[in-house]
Formats: sequence, C-alpha cells, structure tokens
Amino acid sequence: MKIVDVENLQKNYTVYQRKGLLREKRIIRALQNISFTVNRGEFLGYIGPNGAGKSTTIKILTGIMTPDGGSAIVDGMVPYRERKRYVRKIGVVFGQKTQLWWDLPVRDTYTLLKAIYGVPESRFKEQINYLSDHLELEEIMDRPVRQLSLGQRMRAELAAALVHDPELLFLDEPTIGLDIVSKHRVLQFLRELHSRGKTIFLTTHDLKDIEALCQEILIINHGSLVYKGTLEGLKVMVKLPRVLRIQLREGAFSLDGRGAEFIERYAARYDPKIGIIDVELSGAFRPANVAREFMQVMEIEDFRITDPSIEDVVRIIYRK
Amino acid sequence: MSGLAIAMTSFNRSRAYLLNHLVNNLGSFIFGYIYVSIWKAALGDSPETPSMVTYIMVNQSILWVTMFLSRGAYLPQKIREGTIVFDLLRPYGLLFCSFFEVAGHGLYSLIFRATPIFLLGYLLLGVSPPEIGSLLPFMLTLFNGFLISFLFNYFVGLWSIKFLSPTAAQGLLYMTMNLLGGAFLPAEYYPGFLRFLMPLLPFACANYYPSSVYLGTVSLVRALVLQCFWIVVLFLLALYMTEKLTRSIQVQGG
Amino acid sequence: MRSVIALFMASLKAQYEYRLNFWLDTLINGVNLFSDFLLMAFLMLSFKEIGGWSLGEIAVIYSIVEMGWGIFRLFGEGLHRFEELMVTGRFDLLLIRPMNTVKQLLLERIDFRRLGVVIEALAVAVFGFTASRIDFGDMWLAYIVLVFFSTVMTFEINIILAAIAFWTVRNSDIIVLAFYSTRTAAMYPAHIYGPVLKNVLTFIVPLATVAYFPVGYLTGRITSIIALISPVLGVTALLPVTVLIWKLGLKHYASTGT
Repeated sequence: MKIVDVENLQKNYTVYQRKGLLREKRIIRALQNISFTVNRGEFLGYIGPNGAGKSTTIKILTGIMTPDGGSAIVDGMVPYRERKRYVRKIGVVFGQKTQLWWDLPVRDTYTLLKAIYGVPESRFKEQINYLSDHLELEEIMDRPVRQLSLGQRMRAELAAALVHDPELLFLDEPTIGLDIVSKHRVLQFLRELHSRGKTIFLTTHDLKDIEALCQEILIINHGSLVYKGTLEGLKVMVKLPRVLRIQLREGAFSLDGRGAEFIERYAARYDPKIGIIDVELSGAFRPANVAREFMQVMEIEDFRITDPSIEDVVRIIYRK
Repeated sequence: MSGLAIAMTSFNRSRAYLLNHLVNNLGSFIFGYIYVSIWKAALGDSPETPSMVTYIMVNQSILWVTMFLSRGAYLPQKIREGTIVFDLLRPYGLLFCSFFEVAGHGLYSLIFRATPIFLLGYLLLGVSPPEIGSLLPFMLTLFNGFLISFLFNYFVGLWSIKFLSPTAAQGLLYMTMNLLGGAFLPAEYYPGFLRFLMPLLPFACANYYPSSVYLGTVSLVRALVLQCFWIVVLFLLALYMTEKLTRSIQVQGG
Repeated sequence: MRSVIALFMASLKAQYEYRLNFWLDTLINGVNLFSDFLLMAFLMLSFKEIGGWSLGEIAVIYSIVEMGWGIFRLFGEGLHRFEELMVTGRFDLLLIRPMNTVKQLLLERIDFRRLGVVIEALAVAVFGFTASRIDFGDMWLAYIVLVFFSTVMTFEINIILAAIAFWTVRNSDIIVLAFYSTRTAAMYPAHIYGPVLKNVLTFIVPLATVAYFPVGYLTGRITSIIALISPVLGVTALLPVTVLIWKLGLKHYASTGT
C-alpha cells in the first residue's frame, strides 16, 4: 500500500553569481522529473552525492519546501499545502541541526513537545519509557542538552522525533559524526522501529548502514532518479566482478615465466613490492579454474574472494 | 608577530564588515540627531546651541574609538574559542598583543566610522569644523581617550579570564562610561558635587576632554594632565594584573 | 497554554541554577538603561522643560516604551535572535512541528534576566508619576493600558524585522538602524524632532502612537482626540502589515530555502 507517491517532481533554484561587476543569474535544476513510490512499512535508503537533490526531496516531502512542478502525496496529503496538519504524521531528524532546547534538560524538551503535539499524558508516559529503554536515555534525561556528547544528543534527538509516535520517519544523516557504539545503538533502534511497522526514509552517506537496514534503495544524481530497487538488484545491474586477491609468500614476491604468463592471461593487477595480485572474476574466469592454476605457478601465503562492495557499486553509479 | 603586524591584521579583519558598519553609521548618526534634538529643545535659541550640537556630534563620532571599542579587548572571545593560550605563550605578553589588536580596530573605526559620522553631522546638522589650532590638540586628546578606553576594555577582558562571564563587568563599564564619560552631558551640567568630581575621573578622559578641547572650552594643558595621569595609573595597574594573572595561570596550567 | 507553562517552568529552573550570574545579569540589564535616564534627569535640573514637557512627563513616555521593550526581550528572544535560525537552518525544525511558527518562536526561550529592564522601567514610571504630581489613580490605569499597546507594537515591529531575514538571511544591521534608533527617539517627546523623524515615529515605526500622543493628550499638551486613540490606531494598522509580511516571508522561504 502506497504511503509516498511522487510524480514528476521538479525544483529549480536561482543562483546569483558575481562575474566581475555584474551579477549573473543561473538556474540550477535540483530535481528533474523525479517519480517514485514507497510502500507502507518499507525501510528506504536514499543516497546520492552531495548536491544531487537529496535534501531538496526531503524538504518537499516534509512540507518545508514547495516544488516548482509535479506532485507529492504522502499518507493521503500534500505536505507543502497542509503543513500544520500534515506534520503531525511524521517525525524528522536532521543530522546537523537539533530541535532540542539547548539550555534545558532533555526531559523538558519532551514535555514541551508533548504540549505542542497534544499527546495525552498516559500515552506520553508509555512512549517516553519505551524510548528511554531502547535508546538508554536514563543517564541523560536530566542533563542540559548543551552538555551532551554528539552520540547522546543524537539519541535524544531521535526520541524527540518520536514523542508523538508518528508512522513515517524522515532521517537526514542521523549517524554523521557518531562513534561506533552510539551508531550501533541508533541503528539497532531503527531496526526495532521498522519491525514495529514504521515506514522509514533514511538519507545517509554511510553505505554500510544502508546495506544493513534497507530493503529498498533510491539513488539520485544530478537531480534525476538513477535507480530504485533492492541492493541485490543494484549489484546485478552494475555487474561489478568479484575480486580474487592473492597474497604471495614472503620472499617469493618475484614471479617466474609461468607466473608472469598467469598475470597476463587473467589481466591481473600485480604489485611486486607487497606481493599482491588482484584478479577480477568476470563471467569468463571460473574461480575454481583460476584457483587451481595460481596454486600451481606461485607460492602463496593467503587468498580470498571479495564481493563488490556497495561503495564500489555506488561509485560507478555516481559517475554516470 | 610584531605589534604593527598584529594591528594590520586586526584592521583588515574589521574591514570585512565594512558594509555592515556603513549601515550602522547611519544608526549612530540618528542617535546623534536624537540627542541634538533634545539639546536644541532644552537650550532653545541660546548662543550655546551651535557648540552643543558640535559637542554632541563630535562625541557620537568618536564613540566608536573611545567607547564601543571591543568586547573586553577580544579576550572573552578568545577564552571561549580557546585561542587565548597563543597570546599567553607569546614572548611579548598579553597586554602588548591586546593593545595592538585593539589599536588596529581603533584605526579602522577612526577612518570608517568616526569620520563618516562626523561628515554627516557636518553636512546635515551644522556641526562646526575644528579650528586649525584645535585640530592637532584634539587628535592628541582623542588618542589618549582611546588609550584609556582600551585599558578599561582590557580590564574587562582580564575579568573574564578569572570569572569566565564578561557580561557583568562589561555592563558595568558601559554604564559607568555612559554616565560619567560626558558623551551626552558635559561636566558643567552635572549637579552639585559631581560637577567637580566627574572631570577628575578617568571616564571623562574618553569623551568629555577630547570634545571640549575640540571646542576650546577646556585648555589642552588641563586635559593632557588629567589624561596622562590616568593613563599612567591604569597602565601600571594593567601591567600588575597581567603579571599576576599570567603567573597564576601558569601555575594552574590554564 | 500548556506549552507556555511548560517552557516557563523549565526556563526558570534552568536559568535559576546559575544564581549569582543570573542576578548580576538582571541587575546589569536594568542599571544600564537607567544611566540614560539619569543623564536626562541631570540635564533637566538645569532646564526645567524640554520642548515644554517636564521630567516627570518624559519619564512616563520613557517608561512606556521601555516596558514594551523589556517585556518583548523577556518573551521574544526567539524573534530577536531570528537571524541565527536562518543562518543555521534551524528554522526548518520549527516548520516540522504542527504549530504556528511565530508562536513557536515565542516558545524558544524565556529570558528572565530581562526582568531587570522591566523593573527599571517601572521605577522610572513611579518616579515620573510622583515627580509630575499626576493623579495616581487614573494615570496608572492608563499606564497599564499603554504598556499593553507598547508591548504589542514592539512585538509587531520585531516580527516584521525578523521576517526580513527570510529574504536577506542576516537582518541585525537593519534592526539596529530601523528599530534601536526609533525606539530611543520614541522615549522623548516627538515634537522636538524634525518632520522626517516625527513622521517616521508616527506612521512607519509608530511608537509615538503608544506613548507620546496618548500621554500628551492626558497631560493636556495635545488637544486632538485622535492622540488619545492613536495607540489603538497604530497597533491595529500595523497588524495586517505584520501578518502579511510574515506570511510572504514564509512563502518565499518555502520556495527558495536558504
């Protein structure tokens, strides 16, 4: 069941640049006919290089910005037309800006949000307990926000977005700058939220997070949608080969005639200084055959086969 | 970095805000206009009126050199940002560095704040230009006024090193300078005992004396004696406090 | 409203923790502005009247304008620092909430230290009434009403000034130029100024309508009855302008971002 329906979304920015004495007007087409749908309960990863149009899309979907063309319908409403009614249904976290009251204890932010959203007392108590448990907020509840570390602040921020228990979440770079432990806690919690049926729209540069959490990914570049589908589908589409990496034994870094021929035949990359050979296993080269061969012609220390990383895959996409 | 280099850096840094400052100058001028209007309404057609108009506008112009000089000689900001360590470690010491930094800004203010505001006053309010004989004395007393203002700002800065928040000291300084500096009211109009006390205090050296020398209502000798006296006193105090503070920081480890 | 009470209690608790600093800053806030008035008082020891107005009468209009300012700084800190929200982009987070953005700005912070200004303004008023021997009873009622109008107008003006940031991002220079100077001017009787400033204070930044004109009427110095009702006129005329400019600003922001 569709919760987000975007059709032919367009957005242009007019930028003024100084060229000598005059001001030159330039139109940047931030979004060029973007269309996609998101189903209820999906965990969607939204990626793209900087300036690709991610923030613009998020701003339009959260009702902050009006598009120049096309339409966006979220949960039956047009976000930028009925902002005040619409935002009750969503929770938003901007990684680099905080909505917490800076000088007040964390607890007081939640109380204020409770009043703003009109959350009934009993539901509020329940929700705060739930959030406090899962995000380990006990320790920071009574500390002023300005005294918190980044990791603590992000957990508090996430909870703040959920005080009114929205069905749909927009998270813009929520793990940026976090240490490993905090990041893990946040991701765990997102997984938990997803399992409860929430729809989550996650924007991030950390592709490992996407890999761990998202079923669907959306890739945007230069204002256009480049890919929408599963991660597996993306890997198939990009068809990056797996790589066989061979580590030669110490002292046996230089190769004889047969070794050199192996390198040439498989168009492998060979670094004689550290004794590493990389072979791209495209369709023609069957791993078993390659393995049998190299074990005969060289003295190896170790070897392994790696799948193309999501970073490599995405890098290819960005380049298009 | 030699003192002059510090001053030039500070000068250029201030220049980045030139546009904002020019807009601000209009605001300063309007304030001057308000005070001039009050005085005109008070004095009526008295022969004293033109000189009061000049007195007020000259003060409005030089306020940027003698009162709104810097917040605590930039020290509170440096403490917040942690860059204070560099100044403390430099061979010439905190007072030296702070002086040149503020001096750079002071020069900037003289050129881009004081002069435009004065010109506006001259063109629009009939401020009398200085007599040739008074110009140099005026500049001299203005420089002294700047020195005293710098020293007071520096004290506020030192306070913030000790007590972290400069607001109280800053507010106290502004209030005292406002009340006793003579920008709005020359000494002659202070009631009773204050009429004799006010010109003897260091605050009057910032605005009252320079403007009065400009007008010729106070002799240069008297102004210089008072100003130099206070400069010496405050300077020695500043040296002493800097020494004490630097030592205590070195002991505590900052 | 519940949110206001929640903010009130939370802010009070938070600010009161730094007791010494708090009282010191509150004191400084008040005392600073008092020095301006003191200088005025000194001046009037030599001249009994300024433009025909006595010190007591000037004290009353001085206080009314200042009260409006003090109460505004007490609750309107969010508006006062609006530029910051534009520069950091934090304003977006206000748009994420189901509440009118201006209301939310009023909820950003309650700065209790500004009470110093309020107390000082009150002290000046007390002085003004006793010094000018105006009949206490009636005048106090009029004073409270005028302070109300002064506060509303100060809010209106500052909402407009804040809205400028929707277009220019930084607005602090305009605020200083357009508001600080006019506010100071409005604390003194407007007829001492030339026609330009006088008209600005009456029609553009109409602070004269909440202090000078009504008080002038009540003390018998201004005879036109319009002077008495001018606060109502000023505040109501400015209201649609305020709403319009804010709405236009929001629309512009929604279409261009920052």
